[in-house]
Amino acid sequence: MHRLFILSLLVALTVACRPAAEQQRPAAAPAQPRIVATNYPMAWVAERLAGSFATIELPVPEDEDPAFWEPTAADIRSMQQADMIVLNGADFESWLPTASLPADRLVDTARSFRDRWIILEDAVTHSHGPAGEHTHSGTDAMTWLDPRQALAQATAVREALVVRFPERATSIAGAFESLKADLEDLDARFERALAPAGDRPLVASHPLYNYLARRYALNMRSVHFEVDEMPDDAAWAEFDALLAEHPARIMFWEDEPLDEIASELDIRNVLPVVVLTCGNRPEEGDYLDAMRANARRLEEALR
Amino acid sequence: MIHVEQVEFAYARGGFQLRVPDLRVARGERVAVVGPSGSGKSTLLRLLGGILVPARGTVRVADTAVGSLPERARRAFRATRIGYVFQEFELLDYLDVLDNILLPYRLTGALRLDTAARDNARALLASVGLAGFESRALASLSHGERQRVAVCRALVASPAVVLADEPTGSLDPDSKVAALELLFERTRSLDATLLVVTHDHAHLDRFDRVVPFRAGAPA
Amino acid sequence: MTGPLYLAWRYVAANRFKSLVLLVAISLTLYLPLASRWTLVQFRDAWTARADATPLVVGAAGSRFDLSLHALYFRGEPPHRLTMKDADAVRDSGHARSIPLYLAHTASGHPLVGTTLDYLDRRGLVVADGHPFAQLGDCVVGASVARRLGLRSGDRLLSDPDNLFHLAGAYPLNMLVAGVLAPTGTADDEAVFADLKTAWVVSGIGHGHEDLATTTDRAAILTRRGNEIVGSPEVYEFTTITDANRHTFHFHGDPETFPVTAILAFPHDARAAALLRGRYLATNSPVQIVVPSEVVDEILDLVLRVQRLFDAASAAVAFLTVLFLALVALLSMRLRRREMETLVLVGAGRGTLALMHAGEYVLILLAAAGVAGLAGAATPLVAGQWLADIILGGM
Repeated sequence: MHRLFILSLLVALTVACRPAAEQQRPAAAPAQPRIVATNYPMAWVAERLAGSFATIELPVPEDEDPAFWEPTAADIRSMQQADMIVLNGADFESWLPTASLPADRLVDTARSFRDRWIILEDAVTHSHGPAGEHTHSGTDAMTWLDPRQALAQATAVREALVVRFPERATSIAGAFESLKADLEDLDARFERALAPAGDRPLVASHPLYNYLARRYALNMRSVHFEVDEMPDDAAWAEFDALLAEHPARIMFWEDEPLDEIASELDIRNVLPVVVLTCGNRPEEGDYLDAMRANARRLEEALR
Repeated sequence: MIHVEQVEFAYARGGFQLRVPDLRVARGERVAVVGPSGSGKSTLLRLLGGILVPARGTVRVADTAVGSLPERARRAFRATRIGYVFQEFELLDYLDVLDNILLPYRLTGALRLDTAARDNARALLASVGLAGFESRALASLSHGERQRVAVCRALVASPAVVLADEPTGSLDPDSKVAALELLFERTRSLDATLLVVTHDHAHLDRFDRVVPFRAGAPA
Repeated sequence: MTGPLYLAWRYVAANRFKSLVLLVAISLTLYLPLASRWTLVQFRDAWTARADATPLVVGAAGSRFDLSLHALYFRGEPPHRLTMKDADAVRDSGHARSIPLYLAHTASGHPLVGTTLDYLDRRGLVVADGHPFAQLGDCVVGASVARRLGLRSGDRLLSDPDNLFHLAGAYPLNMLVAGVLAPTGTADDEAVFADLKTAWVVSGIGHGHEDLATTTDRAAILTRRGNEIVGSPEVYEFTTITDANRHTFHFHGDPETFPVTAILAFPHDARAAALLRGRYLATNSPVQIVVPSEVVDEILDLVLRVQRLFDAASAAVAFLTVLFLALVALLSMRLRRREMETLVLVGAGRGTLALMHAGEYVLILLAAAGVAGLAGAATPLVAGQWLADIILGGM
């Protein structure tokens, strides 16, 4: 009896001490299902399909690239307790081999087109000890840049949602139809925007656009230029050599490059076009807005 | 108090026979029954206590025809009206002094072991000079002390008759006198009849009367 | 009528040696069948419960006893290993949830069970202190392991080097005890659980080392040809996984080929169970599926036959004890004949005397029953493990 009293007192105190924000959440009602996504495109897909009944979380800080993000032990524990964990897959989550997550709640969205993943050529191969040679394979993980692949990933999310929340099947199906229409429209927009590119040589500041290039049959090569760092003379020389055999006039950038880079490009008659990769939440709008803006900028550049 | 009339008794396996035509002992009288071994003294005690039932004749003790009582009533009679003192005392060595004295109370429903009984036992123990001995182990007592405990046990239920079978047989001469004096004194204080079986002729003069036994009958 | 019982009690208390001998004799006679029976009952219940909680086990073809004991009690190792592909096949069949186990190492002598978080879920294992394993190198320890090794969450636990001369030598891995499980009274109390991947690291399938492409340690590189770098055997491999080096850990080869030693399958319903079993019916299949409850029933059947033998022996002992008691009672009554005569003179009836005698034995019998009961009840706690060891050792 005594112990019970102390316990209830503690509970009362704990409730009283909770920050106001938390108190607003109704304690008695069953908490909303939690869905954690590991990059923005998947969080967006989950939001579109399940946002009406679940809380969607993207644990990556806003100013960090999810591709380089590594969860802390606390992040992983939080994911362990989620009702669903939406992974991009295709080795996007480089930390996955070192994390313990409940297999039956993981949704590996890129798995269905596993045979279509692009393996990056310049990955490091090494061998040591008796284990033999092995490659630290580099899979291009930016699968969502191809809207059709994004749709395949969304399909995987839909299937998992229906299994996990069968009572929401109707709402999920409705949301999926709308999402599907949007992604197909996006695909059409890109197709329209990139049609004039034909076989024209294109260049990218980084090898980020492989899936986009494959989907729309772009003749693209890439270098390793940073948006905020002026390449050195050697890099420019290499760039010039590339242009000599691959006379690109349009260069894809993941963000606005420095002015001095832009003017160097201008000298070479190369037009920088910002094609956001949307790994994390765009500064304004959502995935669809950002991708549509990409298509619009490309359309303008290619006109 | 005791009236044995035309009693004949024989053990079933034959041989020994006891015949007592007439034996009367008055209330408060102190009688010694003497005679050689096998003369029937102990059998007489058993008849008086109702352990044995005579084939013929009547045994009246304290106005009760013992022989005609049913077994159960004889047991109750024995427990309430008769006190026994034995030659070897026959105390139970696994009980302490007080429990030994109160033994009859634990063996029969005819006696109620209550506070009064305990107080009585303690008073008896004090009256024989053993105050404070209540929870002593029997093994720690001297021969004489045991004798006194045995007397207390015989008297604890305030019997009308005390039967003693060679009560001084195992004592040295000085102790014998003391033991007899104790028996006399305690029975007198209860106004009880005392019948002592003995073959010791040294102290017969202290008894009111001596009944000699010989070959299965009073001589 | 408490008088005769009181006297009986005084007698028992006064004759300590005799009473003690009787007490020991009767206690032992009662204890042996009680203890053996209760231990077996507890053993049977525990085994049945665990087997029932594990509907199906998939493993390499071979002895189904070995496989069941391996999957349920973490003992021994099946003759061959399966791969993750087999575990995925169970899951992808759509008939069952699949929980792979990889048991190839120990930590301080306790089995190191590589599995998934689902295992903890399915077995209802609660982390009493700390958290479930979250990252590579984490483990959770069973309650008995924690008690024996004095472990708490945040402590470190070293895996045992399995073979000093093992060429591809797995280094002992210094694991972080992420949590301690609440006691369950099952084999889970005696085990250390980690993610499959952590167990694979212990096996050397995964490892972490300096980035050879950027290392400044020249001894680490044997040859470098463009992007192809051959590291020397001197490459330092981390034996403790920390936040700083976790990202250097990687696995070689196709994850589908990584080893598992057993797969627990939890079918969605009876039909799914039948369908799943059907998949492994081929007699030449290198993979078998067993129903642990059936296997355990067979083991228990054997054990119960031994128990019957034991019961017969107990009955003989009981008979001897009764004879012994009768002899003691007879001798005792002879010794106490004078005492009994005195008691009759003082007023005791036959019933009272009988009660006194019986009381003595009833008291001793009650005490012996108490002793045997308590000892019998305590035995399964102490001997349960011992019995399991004997039975398992004979398998």
